[in-house]
Amino acid sequence: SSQRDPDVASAVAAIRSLLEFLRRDQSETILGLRENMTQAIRRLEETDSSVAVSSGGELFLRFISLTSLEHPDLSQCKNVMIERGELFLKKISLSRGKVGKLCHTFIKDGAKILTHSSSRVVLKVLENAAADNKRFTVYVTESQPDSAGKRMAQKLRKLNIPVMVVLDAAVGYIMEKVDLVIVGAEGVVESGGVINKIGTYQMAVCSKAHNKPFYVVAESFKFVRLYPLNQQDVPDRFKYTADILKTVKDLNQEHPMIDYTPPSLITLLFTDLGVLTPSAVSDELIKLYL
Amino acid sequence: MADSDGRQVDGVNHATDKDVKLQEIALAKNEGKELTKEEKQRLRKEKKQHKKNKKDDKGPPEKEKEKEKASVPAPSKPATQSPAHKAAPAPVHASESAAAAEKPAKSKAELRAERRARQDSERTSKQGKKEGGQQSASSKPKATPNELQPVVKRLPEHVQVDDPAALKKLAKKLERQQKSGQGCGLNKTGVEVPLRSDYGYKVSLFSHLHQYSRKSPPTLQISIPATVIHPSIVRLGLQYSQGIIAGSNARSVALLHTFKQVIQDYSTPPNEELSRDLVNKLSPYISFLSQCRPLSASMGNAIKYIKKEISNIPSQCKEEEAKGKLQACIDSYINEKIILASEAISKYAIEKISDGDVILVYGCSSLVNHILCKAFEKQRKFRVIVVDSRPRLEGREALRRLVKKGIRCTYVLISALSYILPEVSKVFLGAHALLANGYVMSRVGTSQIALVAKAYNVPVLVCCETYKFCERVQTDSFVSNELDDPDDLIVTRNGKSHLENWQTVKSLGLLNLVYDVTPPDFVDLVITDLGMIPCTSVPVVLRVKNVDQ
Repeated sequence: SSQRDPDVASAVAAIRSLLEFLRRDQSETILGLRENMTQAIRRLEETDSSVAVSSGGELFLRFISLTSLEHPDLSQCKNVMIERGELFLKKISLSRGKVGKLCHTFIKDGAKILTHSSSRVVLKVLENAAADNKRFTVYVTESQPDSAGKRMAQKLRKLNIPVMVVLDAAVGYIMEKVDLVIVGAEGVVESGGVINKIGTYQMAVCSKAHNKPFYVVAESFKFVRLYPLNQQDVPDRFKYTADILKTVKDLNQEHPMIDYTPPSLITLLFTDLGVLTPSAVSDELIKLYL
Repeated sequence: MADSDGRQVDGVNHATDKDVKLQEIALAKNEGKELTKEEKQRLRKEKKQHKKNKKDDKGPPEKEKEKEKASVPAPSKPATQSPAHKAAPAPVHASESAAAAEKPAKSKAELRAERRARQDSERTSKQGKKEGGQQSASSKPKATPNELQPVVKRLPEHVQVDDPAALKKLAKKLERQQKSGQGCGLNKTGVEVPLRSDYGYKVSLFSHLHQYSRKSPPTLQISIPATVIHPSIVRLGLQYSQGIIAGSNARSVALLHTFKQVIQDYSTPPNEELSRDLVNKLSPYISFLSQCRPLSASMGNAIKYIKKEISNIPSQCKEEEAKGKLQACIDSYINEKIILASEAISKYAIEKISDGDVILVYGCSSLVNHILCKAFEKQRKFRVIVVDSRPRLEGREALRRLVKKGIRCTYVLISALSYILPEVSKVFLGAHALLANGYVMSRVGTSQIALVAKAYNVPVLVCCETYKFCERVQTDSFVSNELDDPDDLIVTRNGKSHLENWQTVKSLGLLNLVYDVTPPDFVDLVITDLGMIPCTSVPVVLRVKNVDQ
């Protein structure tokens, strides 16, 4: 479904389908319901192995399963769950707008922005900033192997924002020219670091070396209960796409699609919960999950 | 200085009280800072006058005795007057004169000392007469140690060893506790809650901390049979001071088991409520234990919990029932916070251990050893490097436990750390306490390991149960630490020990620190029973815990 509607985040699509699944579920007990839901999430992860789907699924499960504690009766429980699920879905569809509104004030007139690959949230932020009559230029990295950066450049041109596509290898070269770096995220981990398209870590290290602010924009449903210590510690099921995981035997020969940026390199995170420092992410996660 | 003279004169002759009061008011007007001090002094004097008038017959002979004592050491050490409460104005003034010389640094401590002294004097005057024999225990100059007060706002006395006014607080408190245990009997022979004296020359940066010698345990001064202190507490104190029980989990568990024994043997005296009396009974025990070895953060939290449980016992509860309930509480605390917590922590930690890992551990942390043993049982392939340091050489104990399990281990001293670190993939450290600003307090040497690991980009994981989280904030290792026996540093090799006569060399000091503090930037991950959190999230956990309670 995410291929059909390119404007919708894959996590949102996943949650929508989970909600549909919930509606059609035939199980008799709450435990059975939970079992089916976890199975469904696993199936979804098999088809689209991104971090966002995993986090979105888990959050959805948490959000609705708390109702099972309040309403012991199954049918009533199910109705409440569906209601809450729809509320959750509505909330997260609005989250991108919230983030956009928060972040665009950090873009000053005449700014030069560097971004990586194609992110819908970053697009929304830049859209809001342009609507605010700010003048700025954007540099986008090509982001191989899928050339997502070129797609981002096209979208930006449609908004009449001056944009330049640079090579992934040219990040160090271009860093002295830019004023700030804004990237999206596929997942925000417990330490306050982010998991994003491969090449983000490089960009973060460069911006730290040049003392440029490195901002991450992400919706709150991307917060995930992972705590990687380094690049090796990120689970394989996120690093590679689902097809590769199924077909290829020796993953060491494959190029990973994502990398991990530690919190020490990130200046601020813009989420629909507000503007957070990396250490505050853990606080938010504790509030969400505990 | 006119101030001190005027006050000393005042201490000797109370007849000129009124004049001195006027004098003081005038002085206070000149020195706005001391206005509150003056008011308090005045109030105290008035109260004492009042009580004195009631007990006039016993007043004069005591006063003379104390005046004599006061005059003898007065010229050299005006600060160390005998702390008998009848002569309290004299020592307070005298200590004030000492404080006057160092006013800005000591004024807060002085205020507190005076408030305390006033409260102490009121309390002791209510309880009964003070005997002359008690002064022998506490008239040691300068070296009398202090009490750890579990009040957050005040500076704990155990870091005020060089503040003479604060020393009196401890002396008074211990005597008061001794008193409460005896009723109205006289104590001629030994002191029940003894004051331990400091040993040897202390390095000036750490002169505010105690330094005891293992050769003079606090139990030397206790009479047999001990009436105020329960014998199992005496045993526990001895085990602490001799280092037989070491390690924060071991100490806390031993403490809780001993308290269970104490509660078992306790019987409520008539006309008393268990919930109030038992707490009072526990206070001298806690003072005694902190004299043997300063309390750890985990022990402090455990004691707080017990005191809360005791005071929550409803008054209509029968004694046997209450005792049973308390024992069950203690058992569940140990089970939840220590045993189950270590299971939960092992579960999370095992996720972080992958095959082919080389794990570095430092010293002997019961929790880290448990994690490694569990991981080995779960068939993870890893090897361990144990780093050790003098003088405690705790790493040998860890090495013994791990090798017994069958884990491949390497043993190095801490000086070889930078040599061995390029091989290491992860560092696992235990903690003594986690402070509210995210700093990790642990065995000395831990922050060194964390620093070098950071330089080599090796992830550092700290494993700590939540009951060790404490509200204190500390940014360096000087403010609050523990000094161990300096004689431990003496090495005998080939029959020669070069440092044997270190006390004779005036400029030589031996420093045997026990703890140090690691900043949160060096720590990548803290594994607690609540989950894996970054070091900066400790205050959030504390907040969540307080909400739960």
